[in-house]
Amino acid sequence: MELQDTYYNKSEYVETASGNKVSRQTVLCGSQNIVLHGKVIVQSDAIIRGDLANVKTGRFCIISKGSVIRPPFKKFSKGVAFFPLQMGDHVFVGENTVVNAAVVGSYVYIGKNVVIGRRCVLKDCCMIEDNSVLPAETVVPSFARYSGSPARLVTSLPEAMPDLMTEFTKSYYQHFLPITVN
Amino acid sequence: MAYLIQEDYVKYVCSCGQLKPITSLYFCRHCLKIRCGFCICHEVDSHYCANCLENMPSSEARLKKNRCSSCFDCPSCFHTLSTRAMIAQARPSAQDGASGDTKVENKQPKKTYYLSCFNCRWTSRDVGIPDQPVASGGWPERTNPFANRFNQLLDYYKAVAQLEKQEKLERERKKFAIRGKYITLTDKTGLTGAMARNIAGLPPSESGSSATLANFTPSQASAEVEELPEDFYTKEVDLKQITSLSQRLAAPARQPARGSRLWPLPKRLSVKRSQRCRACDHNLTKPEYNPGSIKFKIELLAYYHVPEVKIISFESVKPGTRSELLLKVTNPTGHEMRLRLLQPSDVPVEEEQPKSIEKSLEKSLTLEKVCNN
Repeated sequence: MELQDTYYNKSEYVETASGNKVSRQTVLCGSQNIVLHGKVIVQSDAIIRGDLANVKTGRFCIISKGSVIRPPFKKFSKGVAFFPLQMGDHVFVGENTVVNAAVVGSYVYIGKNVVIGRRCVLKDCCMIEDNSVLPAETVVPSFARYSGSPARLVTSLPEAMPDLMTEFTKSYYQHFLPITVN
Repeated sequence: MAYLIQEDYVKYVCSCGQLKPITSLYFCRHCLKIRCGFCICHEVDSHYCANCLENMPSSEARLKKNRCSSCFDCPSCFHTLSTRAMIAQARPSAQDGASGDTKVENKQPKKTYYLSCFNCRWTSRDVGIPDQPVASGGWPERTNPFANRFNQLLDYYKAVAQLEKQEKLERERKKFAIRGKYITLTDKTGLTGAMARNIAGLPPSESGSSATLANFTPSQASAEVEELPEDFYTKEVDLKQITSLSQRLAAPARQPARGSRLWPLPKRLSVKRSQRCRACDHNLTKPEYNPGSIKFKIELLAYYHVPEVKIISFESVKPGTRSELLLKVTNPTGHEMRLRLLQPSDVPVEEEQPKSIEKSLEKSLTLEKVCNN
């Protein structure tokens, strides 16, 4: 099935010169520490905690409604340190998902209602299914599909995953259209 | 991507007759045929640990029973264990004030490491594994209680296999005894190598294997079973202490019955595999060697060569009325492609559909659509 058009209220979203579409109903803390690399969609009620550490996303990332992007912390003997959160290109983050990962690679699909624990490393081309919980410091290898709580490897992904994700995020961006409400 | 989060609505016929979504199909460029996971050869390229992403040569992997030497899984919930550092407490001893050495030690606290599961909070301290002075490796290994018997069996079956192989060779040699120009010494004298050795008074070459065959004691089934402890039925069971079936089966050598006997499980290795067409022996996919890499040296996927069919919209079928189905067909290649939609009357011939795609690719002629409505 082809993706259906999703419409957004034009007055609600801000479009930047590089094509980022960011909702006004989001909480972007420490916006000077947040880098969106272009054609990124941040939907309403999403929270990005740039005040804790740098948050960097690649191109064509989709951060869905109600999701939380939060740099991870680590306890040391002398207090707590926050680590920057890096996200590659063509990443989809589903609705109401909490991402505490240290690194999210490119071509990653994270479903809805997922919790990604502290300092997880999601390698390129992996998929976390809906309603999964990834415990802290998990490494998800490439071409792995994780599911459950705690999330475990369920199956592998097809070799064409980079192209599938590219097509998906690009077409999502193209089908994310404004309507003006009077 | 829609393929992974939706059901597979559009399926393609593989040349072996299986119905598969386009993402799990391959296209052999040399046979010009669609192949699927069932009709190709899977080969292991390299072993690596999914956690530390370290490559392991296949010989070493076999030696270590396909398990990583530095990463462990939790024996309780099977999540990956993390190494945690702990600064060792300086022990307040009696000679604390007396000797200067202890003071120096106190100033440089030693770090010790233990394994901990962030999912179920199991730690290696729970089962009394001593903390390690180094961050990775050096964890005590438990020996398999049946290791001896295991090795015996292994030697025995190796010897049996060798013997059978030799007998088979012997039989073949007798069957095809060539009485021709080139008569070897053994043919002329009717001697085999083993017999020649015997006559010459030399010890037989495979003395080791025959000895293992002779000395082997087969397992004996016995009707006598150890009796259950007397309080087995009366003692109250603490279910928190008893391990679950999956926990026991994860450590088949010991199958611990109590939680206190659980031991970290070395992590299983993953493999990078390449796939090969069975008909022409050409590679269909070949990944790059580096475990972190997602690139392929060879990648002949159907997704890049076969026209992709997508359903744009559909109407539910009602009797007596026309229903509309809107399809989108994309040509992933840079070449022109001929496409033919079959009439329902054409379908009964089973191999018609894959053939038409094949032919169209082969000829790459002009694009002409013959629509059936």
